[in-house]
Amino acid sequence: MKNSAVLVDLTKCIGCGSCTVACKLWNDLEYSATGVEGNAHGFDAELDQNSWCVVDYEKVTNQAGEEVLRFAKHQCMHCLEPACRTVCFADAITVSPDTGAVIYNPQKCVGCRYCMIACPYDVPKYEWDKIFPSVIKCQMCENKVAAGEAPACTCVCPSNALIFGDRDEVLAEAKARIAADSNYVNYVYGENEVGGARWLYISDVPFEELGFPMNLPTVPIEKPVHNFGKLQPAVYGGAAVILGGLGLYTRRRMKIAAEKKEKGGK
Amino acid sequence: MNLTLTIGSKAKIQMSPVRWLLLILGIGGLALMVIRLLTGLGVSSNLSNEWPWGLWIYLDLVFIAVAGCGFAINILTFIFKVHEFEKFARQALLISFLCYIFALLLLFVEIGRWDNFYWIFVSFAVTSPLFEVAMCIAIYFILQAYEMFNSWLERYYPKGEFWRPIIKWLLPIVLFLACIVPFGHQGSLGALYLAMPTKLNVIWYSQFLPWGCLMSSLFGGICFFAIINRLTAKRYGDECETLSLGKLLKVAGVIMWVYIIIKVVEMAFRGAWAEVMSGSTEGIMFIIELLLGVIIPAIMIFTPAAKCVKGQVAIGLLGTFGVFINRFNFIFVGMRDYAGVGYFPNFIEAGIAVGMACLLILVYVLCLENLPLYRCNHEEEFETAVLPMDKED
Repeated sequence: MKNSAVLVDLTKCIGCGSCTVACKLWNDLEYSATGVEGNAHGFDAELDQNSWCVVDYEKVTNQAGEEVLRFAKHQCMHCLEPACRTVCFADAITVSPDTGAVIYNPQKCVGCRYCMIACPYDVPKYEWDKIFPSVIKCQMCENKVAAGEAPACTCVCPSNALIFGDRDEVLAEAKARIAADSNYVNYVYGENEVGGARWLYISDVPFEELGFPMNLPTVPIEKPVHNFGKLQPAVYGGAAVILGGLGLYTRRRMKIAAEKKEKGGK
Repeated sequence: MNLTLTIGSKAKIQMSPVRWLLLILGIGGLALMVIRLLTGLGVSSNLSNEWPWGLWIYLDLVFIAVAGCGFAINILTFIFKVHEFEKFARQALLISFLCYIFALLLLFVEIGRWDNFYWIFVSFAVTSPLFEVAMCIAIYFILQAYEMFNSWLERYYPKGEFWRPIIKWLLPIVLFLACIVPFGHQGSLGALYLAMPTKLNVIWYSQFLPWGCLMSSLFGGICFFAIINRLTAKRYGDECETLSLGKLLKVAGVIMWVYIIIKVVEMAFRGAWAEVMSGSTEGIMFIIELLLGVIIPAIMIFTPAAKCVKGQVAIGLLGTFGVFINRFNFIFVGMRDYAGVGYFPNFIEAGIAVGMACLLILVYVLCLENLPLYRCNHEEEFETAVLPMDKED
């Protein structure tokens, strides 16, 4: 699927953590304990080098004023115009032409960690304990999706909270669900964040309470970087022309001054 | 302890207790560097997922910026032919060259996959500001190495048989390119942080950031040069440089005032002054940065203080401090709020930086003593080699 996307309906998630297990099985990741519950799902669960997807438990207040549990699945958002790809100077991060997923290639990575600091969702993590470390992030099961299947995590969801499909169709479905049920917050998270993402979220509690950054611009991170970068040819050209011209002018003036001095001397 | 080693008739290595100490610290730094390269970043640094960039990136940005002294003085002597500054040109080149070596060494330990470093040069990932930084630093490093090579040849092959015409023919081209190339990477180093609009504090985050870095590399570089020049003059003697240095600082002063005006207006335009005046740590740090690091030296430069040695040292220290704290602010202070946790470099991170710095200080004094880079040490070569070449242009 060329324009693949996943809709996460947070109202349907029961926090079982099946997706995190499927992720570890498919990607052959070691078990490691993150979060208070000591798992890839639980309170304060965070992405790390062995957990490409986690389910973070949050105690929140819903619109009726009751304290409820909500479960926020976090993984790479697979931006349409990813910041990590923009800033990678080794071309190690690319957008897959087959699926649209943001793919990391450890063979090309130099390890500058610019992607980690540039990612607005703080997704890429690092193998700090390895001598030759790689950056770690969800690859959206690239080869599985390219073969026409769905990502591992979406295959196992028992409550149908994860819906895999074409981004346009999935987005339309998200908006239809919001329109049909007033319990939803009227916002599709990931629709426009930093230019749009392939993981879209709908929820019945405000996203800021679930730990999603809400201050992201709608333009891609590439925009401010490119606003400077596109001037660079002009900077070099301008500096060469202006300084070159001034250099020649200085030399000509000095030559004339020297000739005048010579004539005056005679 | 005071050992003098002479190689042939021309190379002389004098060792004093201080120099032995520098050498020992340098070797210690190299040993820590090997440990770092063989153990990985988790063991050898306090870097983390919250602070992927730390001390090394900071020192890279600072020392590439103060290496702007070579860039600034090259423009003044090669483009504008300011005869008075020609005696500074080679010393500034040496300082700048060593700063680049320092930055490249730290960059090499900073990258996690140092075995893959060549990918930078074949990837051609032009969207990344870091790509421009890497390419331009590599090119500029080669240009500076060429200029250094020229000085080395002058010293050891003064007769100049086969190489002299080739070197002389290429040198103006190299010098011209060395005036152009830093315009790109000095700005791009600031542009690295343009990718963090939601993380970097609003005081520093703006499209002016890279241009500010370019300008501060020029005036910060000259201020850094002023300190090193005064220290060198104290050691090796100086007859006539105080007045020239005062004039050089005036150039820095003009750039400083342009910087101050643009910065103040640009911040007012974005409404960032409210954040500065809110009394937050970020605001206070910014006031220190602008007032102590730029405004006060910019005022002092146009007072009689700039004409005496003490004043020049004070201006140099303040201007250099300005660059150090500016980079510190947007790398650490401005990102602190977002990171949520603190960062402090560990022994190995700091040790490598200190060790490399000690080693390069030693290289600096040995180069000054053996190569025609500093007038008081090599008056004869300056008269025969350096100055006629400029007259022929």
